[in-house]
Amino acid sequence: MTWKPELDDLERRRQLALELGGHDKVARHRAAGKLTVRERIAGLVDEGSFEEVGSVAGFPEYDAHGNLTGFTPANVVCGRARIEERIVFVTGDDFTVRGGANDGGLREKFQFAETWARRWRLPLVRLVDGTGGGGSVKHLETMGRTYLPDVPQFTEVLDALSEVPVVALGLGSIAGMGAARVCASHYSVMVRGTSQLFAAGPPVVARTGQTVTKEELGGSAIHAKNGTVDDEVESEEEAFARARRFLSYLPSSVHVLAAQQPSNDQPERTAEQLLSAVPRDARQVYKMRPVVEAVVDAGNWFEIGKAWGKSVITGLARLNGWPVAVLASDPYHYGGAWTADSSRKAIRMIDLAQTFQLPVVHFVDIPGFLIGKEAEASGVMRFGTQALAAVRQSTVPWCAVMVRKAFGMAGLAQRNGSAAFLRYAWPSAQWGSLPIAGGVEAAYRAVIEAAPDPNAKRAEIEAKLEALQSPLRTAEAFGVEEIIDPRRTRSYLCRFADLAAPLRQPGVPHFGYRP
Amino acid sequence: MTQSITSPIAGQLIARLVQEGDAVAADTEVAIVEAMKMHIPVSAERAGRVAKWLADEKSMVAEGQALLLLEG
Repeated sequence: MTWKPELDDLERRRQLALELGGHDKVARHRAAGKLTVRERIAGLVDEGSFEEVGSVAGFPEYDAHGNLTGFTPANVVCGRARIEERIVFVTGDDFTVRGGANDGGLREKFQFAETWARRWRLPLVRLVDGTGGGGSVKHLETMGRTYLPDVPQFTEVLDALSEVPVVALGLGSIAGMGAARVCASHYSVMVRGTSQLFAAGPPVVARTGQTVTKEELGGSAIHAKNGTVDDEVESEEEAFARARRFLSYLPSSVHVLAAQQPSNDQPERTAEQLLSAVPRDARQVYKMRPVVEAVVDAGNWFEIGKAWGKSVITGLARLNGWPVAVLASDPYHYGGAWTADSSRKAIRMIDLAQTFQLPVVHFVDIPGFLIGKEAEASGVMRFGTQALAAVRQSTVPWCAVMVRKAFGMAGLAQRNGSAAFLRYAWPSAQWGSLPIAGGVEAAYRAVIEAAPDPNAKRAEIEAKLEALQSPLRTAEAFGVEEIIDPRRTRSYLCRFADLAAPLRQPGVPHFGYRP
Repeated sequence: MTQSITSPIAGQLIARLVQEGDAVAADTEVAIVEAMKMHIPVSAERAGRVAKWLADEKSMVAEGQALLLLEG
């Protein structure tokens, strides 16, 4: 006498659950170019590491004798797994069962999947598809009543962002709550062509008189350019790879610190090309990404948000094996001026760094906030001031490399509020409350207008002031701590990372993370 | 297919780097706009042939204003 019959029964249910929404629904899902939820989990995590929770939760059908005649699994598949050896919690929506909507799910399982990671202090990865657990009007008929909008344990879902890394992958057409679950994360991506995201999809939008396709309404290119998601990728496999990579820089929770990885890149390595990276003509642009890549541990640069807020480059990197957050100006876009969007993007990276105690390195070339009509219409000063507040409220160790310009209020973004703060200037650096060219006109108008040759007078004043603009003059007055040889930048930053490591302070941040 | 290349920023179009009829490869710099005291290059996103310039050198251009038409 054993319990074998019950175990056989259990196994039969597990097998039925593997059929997801049934052969036809799965075939249609695959024909749309999408992987099934189980294929997605397998693609994301270390091979064979997925330990499912709630494997037989769902909707059984029984005959009059209580024999199981059919079974549809709940449309959330979740469990523990490993990514690069580290335990994470994964939850995936099954689009083949009721398009991922809540009437194909079990409230208790959804709650479990969304809260478990925080309770056990582990990273959470969401694979979002369909309405992502959101309501369907069909549900109204089965319930026989309406309800005030709520998400099970929504406060705890959001609180998780202040405690554990949350990655969300948008892997289909995602509306409503699914869209919010993508956005309520520290890192999100959408797959080009097969993923769209919106508050409501084309049929609902059509009622407002707008006839649009899913792609026109909420394709990945739209949302990677407006910052709704961080990045767009070409395939689901690339999305999995980016999720794994992102998590590799972060601790498992705010209660522990990111570990130092072994590095093959010597901290003292010099980069000869940095001597001529910045053109002598201050009006000439140059490429900032090669500067960042020449300085950080080789092969460890992970850019985030490349398609939006382009005047600020953000990403994660390692210095002597220590994970760090990176901000860097891109003079190709608005000359490096901070826009409303680049301010929002900078806030997102700074808040991530503060929450998970990643020291920040900022490669500064900021001519100011963007000026002009379009900039004002976009609310640049509101978002810009928010960004300055985010910078100053952050207390994580911070190191600025003054590559070229730092002017005006935006120039204040060079440094945060940390007592552990370092600043190194390249010889190409120049700074001030106003750039000379524009400032001369305003400050010396009377003198210029009174001169017999106003243009010659303006040029004369500009030349005189230019000569005072050398960073050496600032350093003489200890207005900047040190001017360095650009070629040796890496060694300074690696020492910064070593110094910063013991100053990182684990724990829940004073401010809740706002996605 | 004809596509316009627009100015990324409000400023002065200080240089047209390609001529009407020129074939350009993707990422070719086609113009320089001076703004924020910087010379900001404008690049073609894809390959094509310059059909027509829509803005004069030294003229002031708005953000998003079409600078030239690219066909093919």
